[in-house]
Amino acid sequence: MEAPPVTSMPVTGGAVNMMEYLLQGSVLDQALESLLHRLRGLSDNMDPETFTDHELVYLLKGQQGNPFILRARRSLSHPTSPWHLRYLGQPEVGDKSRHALVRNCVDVAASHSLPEFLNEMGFRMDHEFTANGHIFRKGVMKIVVSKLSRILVPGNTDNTERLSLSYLVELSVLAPAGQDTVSEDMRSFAEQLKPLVHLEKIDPSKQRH
Amino acid sequence: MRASAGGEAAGGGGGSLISRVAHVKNALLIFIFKLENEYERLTWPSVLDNFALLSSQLNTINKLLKNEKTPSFRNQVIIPLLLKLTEQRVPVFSHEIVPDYLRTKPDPEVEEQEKQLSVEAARIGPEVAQKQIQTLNKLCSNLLEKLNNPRDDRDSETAAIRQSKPSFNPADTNALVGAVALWEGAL
Repeated sequence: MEAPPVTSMPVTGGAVNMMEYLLQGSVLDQALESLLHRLRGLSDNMDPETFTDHELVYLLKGQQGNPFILRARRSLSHPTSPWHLRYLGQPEVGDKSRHALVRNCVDVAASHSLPEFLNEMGFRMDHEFTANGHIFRKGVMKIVVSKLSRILVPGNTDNTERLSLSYLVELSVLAPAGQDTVSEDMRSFAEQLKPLVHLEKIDPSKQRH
Repeated sequence: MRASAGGEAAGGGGGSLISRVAHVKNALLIFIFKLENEYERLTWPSVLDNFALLSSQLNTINKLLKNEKTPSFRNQVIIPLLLKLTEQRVPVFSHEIVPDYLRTKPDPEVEEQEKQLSVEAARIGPEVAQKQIQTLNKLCSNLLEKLNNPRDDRDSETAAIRQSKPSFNPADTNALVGAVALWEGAL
């Protein structure tokens, strides 16, 4: 069977094309408390929310160069919640003045048979990791402070090892395509977190060493 | 609750008492409306403003009542007479509302707590209490001064602290971002 053309955009079936605007940074363990305090003050008034997620990244290797990547995520703290499947496109190469990384984003919820389904479809799990940390919201902006851990034994989420001594901080907004005021708001929010964290747009494809 | 019985007895003085009470009633109405309908937008300072307004109005009423010319109301009971006077807020003068509306002393638990507090206050002695009050005042004024006066030398000293204790490591940032996006560097 021919592999599906992986370079075409995913079919959205008439729904609005959502883009994810993203700014990332990190914070060392010893500065985590101060960052959490500052975020508690800056974000909307809500109870502090922690999360523990297990993410599996599936690849579909086509005949062309880049494989098709899907990310499946489930909550370890709420085991009965549905799985969350996400597709993230390539970052949009727009004008350099745009302050955040913008990429196409498709999110769907899925049942607990998602891993088997993806395997049957031809996807293979490339790697998995766990993320646990805190999540804050301010209006449409979502701020996630998470500690990433690598899973040592495939399938065993208890046996993990931290990837780094820092926490990853992500500021993201899901908005329909074309709204550029979003990145301005994100930038002014990121200003308020300096000098604790420097949130910036980091293009992962430029990171290859 | 209109102090209409007291008003009649006091003659002219009762009129201003009625008007003061009417002010308090209006202020309470506005405050309750705000609390019920605009609570998402309400900030703590504006809530404090409302409380301050109510307390000042209660103060003026107190002063008015303490005025020598005002006859004592102790021998008269204020009864919220039904619908007409209380604008339908008291439907029936029944046994349920008597403890609330005709209350003169706080609940026994509250009285107990107040007694404990006053025993505690008496125990530490007036000099110690005075010193504690002075320390608190000094701390508050220091804090206020620091918050209100953005000083230039403060920025330079925080810059010095920042350099000695960095809170993030850019290499870690790149490593984490690379790990999430491409799983490079995590192997």
